[in-house]
Amino acid sequence: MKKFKVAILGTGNIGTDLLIKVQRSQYLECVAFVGRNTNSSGMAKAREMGITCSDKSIEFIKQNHKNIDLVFDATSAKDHLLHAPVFKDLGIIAIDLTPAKVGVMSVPAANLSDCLAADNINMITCGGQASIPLAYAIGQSQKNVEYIETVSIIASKSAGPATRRNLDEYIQTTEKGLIEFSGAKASKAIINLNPAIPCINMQTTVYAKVSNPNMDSLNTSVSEIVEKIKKYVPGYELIVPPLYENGRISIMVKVRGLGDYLPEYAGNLDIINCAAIAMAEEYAKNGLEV
Amino acid sequence: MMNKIAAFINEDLTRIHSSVASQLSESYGQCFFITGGAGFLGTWLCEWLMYLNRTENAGIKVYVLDREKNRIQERFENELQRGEMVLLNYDVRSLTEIPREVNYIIHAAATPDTSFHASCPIDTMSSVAEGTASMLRAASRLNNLKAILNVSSSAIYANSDMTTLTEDSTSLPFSHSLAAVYPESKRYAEKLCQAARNELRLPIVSIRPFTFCGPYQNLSSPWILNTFINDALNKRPIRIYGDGQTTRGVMYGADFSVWVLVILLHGKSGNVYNVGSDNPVMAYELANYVAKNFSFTPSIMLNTSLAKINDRTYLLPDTYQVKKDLNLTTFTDLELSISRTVTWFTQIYK
Amino acid sequence: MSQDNHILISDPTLRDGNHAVSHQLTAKQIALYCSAADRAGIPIVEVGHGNGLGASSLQVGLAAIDDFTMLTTARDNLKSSKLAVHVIPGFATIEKDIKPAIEYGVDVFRVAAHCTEADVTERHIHFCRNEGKTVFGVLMMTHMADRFLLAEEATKMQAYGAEAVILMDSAGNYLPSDVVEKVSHLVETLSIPVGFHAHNNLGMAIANSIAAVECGALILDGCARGFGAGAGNTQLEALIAVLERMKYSTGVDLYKTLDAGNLAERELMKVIPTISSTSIVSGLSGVFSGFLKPVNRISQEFGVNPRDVFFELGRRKVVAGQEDIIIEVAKSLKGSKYDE
Repeated sequence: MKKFKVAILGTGNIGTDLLIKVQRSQYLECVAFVGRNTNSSGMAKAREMGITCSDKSIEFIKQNHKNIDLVFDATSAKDHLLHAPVFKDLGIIAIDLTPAKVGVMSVPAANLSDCLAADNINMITCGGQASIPLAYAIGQSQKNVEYIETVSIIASKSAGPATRRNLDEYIQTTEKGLIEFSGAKASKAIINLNPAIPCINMQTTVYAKVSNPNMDSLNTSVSEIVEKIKKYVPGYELIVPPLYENGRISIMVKVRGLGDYLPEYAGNLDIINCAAIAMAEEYAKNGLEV
Repeated sequence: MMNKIAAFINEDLTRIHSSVASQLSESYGQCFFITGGAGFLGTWLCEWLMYLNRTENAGIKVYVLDREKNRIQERFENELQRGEMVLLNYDVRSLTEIPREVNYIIHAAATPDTSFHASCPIDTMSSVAEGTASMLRAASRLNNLKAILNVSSSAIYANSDMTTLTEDSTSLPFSHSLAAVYPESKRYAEKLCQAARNELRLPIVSIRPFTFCGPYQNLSSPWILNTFINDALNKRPIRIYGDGQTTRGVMYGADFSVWVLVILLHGKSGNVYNVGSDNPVMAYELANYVAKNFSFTPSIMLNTSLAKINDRTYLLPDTYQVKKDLNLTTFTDLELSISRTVTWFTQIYK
Repeated sequence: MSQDNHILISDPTLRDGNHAVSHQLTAKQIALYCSAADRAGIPIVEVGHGNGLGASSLQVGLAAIDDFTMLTTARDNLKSSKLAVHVIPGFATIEKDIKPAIEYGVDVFRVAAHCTEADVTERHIHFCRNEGKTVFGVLMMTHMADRFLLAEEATKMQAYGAEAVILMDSAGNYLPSDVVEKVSHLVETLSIPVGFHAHNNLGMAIANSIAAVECGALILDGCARGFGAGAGNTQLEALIAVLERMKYSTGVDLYKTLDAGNLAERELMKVIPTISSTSIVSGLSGVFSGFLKPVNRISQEFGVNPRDVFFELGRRKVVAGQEDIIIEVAKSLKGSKYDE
């Protein structure tokens, strides 16, 4: 089978970790690793791996679009807003890892095949990739979900300057995703950076207010979706199965990263990349080009 | 809106040009390369050089290197189209080649935003240190390079108690404070330039800029004059954090940039110059000047932190050396500087 | 630095006290206390959910009334006192929470972060300053960081535009010698005023507050009857009295503060904060006292000893906002008991 040709735009931690995951994939191959600083450590790593590198950013994509099926955009929300129309014009599928919210929200465990019709896919947020599948399971198994809330705790060391500056966008995007996938009337997202050493793994709790919850049905839905997620996020683990106490449902998961380019504790960065890869592979398997 | 901007800037340049015309003629027919060319200083430099093309048919070409591109693209659409200007949109650290035709380099890439220094100290230091190193290596392979001007910072000086700072004043002592990442990297970059002047035989001057105002500054950057204007623009009282006795000298962007050009064209390699206004003005007086320029005359509040402190700073350059060596003078006095700045933010650049 | 021995008093009774009643303060209670505090000339009155703006949640507790009701009620009842809110980025956002709060008439924004994470406050501090509001940076759980790291984090807040930095002893773990070491280093390092917010787990709240002003702090937090999570905070009435005797000026009327204290005891509290055995454990273990209620509740549900839960939470270095870890700890403690 012919591999899908992908380019990675943005050579920071996310972009470089994606590169390693792409090179491992049997469906994808990285044809270009593109940023703005040839001296970044991501570029150095990519050169070491023999990947074509460029510091010409979006201009490189424009010049070489004929050889690119899909772009992962791991720059910033501000930049993706400028890039999105370019990708569209060039007929390149875009998988957006920034909180720009341009495209269709994708949570592979919930709506993988529905996304294939779209040409711009938004990977929501790291906390969204951990919590939304659970919110989706709640939405699928319960009637009248009044309210969904999620709390993610990530290791302080895994949160770079951009993450720290963009907590508000993280919250807004995650809240939007929770509602879209669970059908709840209201949602809330909370994020907390934990400085504990040794670094904690990412932990995400989902709470829900549901009148007359059906716990059996919820347990089944949750175990099913957790199995689905584990296929593309091996480090995803249910640590507190659905619990009904004090008038609320709570479910807790832990995400340990694969440790590809980033340390294992950075499960928050790993899960969004794993989800993005799952999405890209789905395009490749279906041999789709926009 | 672009025409309004062009006309406004043109007024400033026309007002000043005749006083410096003879010192700028060296720039005719030359090619300039400006790192950080979309910043405050960079944009003003582009304005001057394109003004000379317009009014003097100077035949100047400018390469602008900057991560940001919108302002340059909008403001200089025609110049970019005609090839008088070329925009390079990448990180200065990634600079490996400077076009062979370049004669003059102005290295102004760095963010003076203290919030950025606090949140991203590594990036702050590496873009100054690695950016300067990249620029120097690329510059060393040019055929017809005449001069490099390195933009350092007045932040490298130690705190002064009510005395003006000469180029020989004591610089910052080594401290445990992380707040020193910016001045430490600027000091390193100055030393690197000195090393390159010797080892690579590059002609380099450095400048240490002080305090400025005017078009192309970012109103949300936390420097007092900007917050005063921002308060007044929002029809609020002007809030002064302390007792209003913090002292600065304020220079207008048009003066700053033309000083930089003259220093670049005529400065002696190896020299370091203070650049700024040596006319002291206290925060309280500045607030009054700002208030005067608004029709509704905003009130002025002191000690807004509610807890009373009297922490005053005093930052004023001694500019004897630069004035003497390069025959420079102030073209825009304080009152005019502030009224032009307020007009810019209220009427031109909304 | 102080010109006239003046200490700025900030009163979080209606915010920190909300922890003590599971965030169930009503509009009527807020109105009553605000009027009393305003009459006493207390310069800053802080109001809100215990974890501040936008924090009402299943994670840390749902408030009885929303932020809008709390803040507009307070605003209507404060004439000379400034209205303040506590803002924790990660809970509160600029769009959803801060912009409306400005509309409701909040004067002072106290933007808070865990003591090692000040960079999450950049945009929130910046935004409030640009809106012309008074902004303080707040570092929480400061017993967990040494004075050098605290100074670095506080310096960030100063760079972002904070007009003061408040150190919180959120766990009530400090002794006066800790206060002197940390506060004097901050006073030396920063060009903006330093404040101190004490908790009373080890009975040191007043002593620690005084130690802070003696080495240069210019802002102190105090609550009526010490109303706050767990063992409570610095008792405001006693603080004013001690400062008065030590010839510090606060501009606060002592008698009317005593009246406000009586009113608070009568109208706001189910029980007056006391140093319970569990609070001592939380202070010693260095765990945020806001965890007290959920720890007791969850420990009871799982049938485990809350002291064990606290020391385990301390060992894991949990921070405010991590209440969900309690369940995991209780569950694992219960599990290990079965193993035995």
